[in-house]
Amino acid sequence: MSIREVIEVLNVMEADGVIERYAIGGAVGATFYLEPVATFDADVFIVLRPELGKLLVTLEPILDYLKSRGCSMKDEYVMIGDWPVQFLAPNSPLAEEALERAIEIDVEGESARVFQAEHLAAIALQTARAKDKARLLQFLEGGDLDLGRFHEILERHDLVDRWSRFERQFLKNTP
Amino acid sequence: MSHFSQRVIDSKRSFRRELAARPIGEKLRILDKMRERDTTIRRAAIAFKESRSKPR
Repeated sequence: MSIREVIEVLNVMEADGVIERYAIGGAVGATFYLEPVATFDADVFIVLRPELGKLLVTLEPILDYLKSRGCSMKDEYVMIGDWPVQFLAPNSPLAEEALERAIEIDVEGESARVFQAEHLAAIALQTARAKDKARLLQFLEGGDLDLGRFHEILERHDLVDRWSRFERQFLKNTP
Repeated sequence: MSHFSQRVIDSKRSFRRELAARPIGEKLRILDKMRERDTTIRRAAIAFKESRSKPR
């Protein structure tokens, strides 16, 4: 199964009310704006709310739905066809905002909801693993980033100092 | 940096830009292929590691 078919499944899940809202982040999300980014899995962010009468939030209804449609579990992933998909609840106000403001992009007739480039870049700055820094550089080099919007996000989420350090480390020739 | 190294870097950058500009459907198909290739390499690497750890 291709990633486009995974997107179809996500749209059906949303239409069936199994998930309230989803958005694709991570490397698959970045591929919408950059050159294809090699990845083993797909990160799908979802709004998670507790079931009626329950206090705890759980992925169980989603997993049950997908299992009833032939999907299997592998570690923390749901295998949708060949693709390991990780359903994630936003773990920061930045990720929450990214999910809330994600945009719809047409993939050959199928609509995919994806984090905006500026949010993906800000999340890469916040996460700051080596691969995230490399991705942020790709976003900056690609020139598709709206720098005004990117800086607004950095200010809203207290990332300005981190950005200054990143700039000094990677974008300026002087130490 | 030598002229040759700079040319290689410029050419890679230009190829990446060209890939980034392709239609999204095409980029996602490339992603599918890259994942298949990664999975094959990963499987081979695991098999290789296991074969090395077996007593001879």
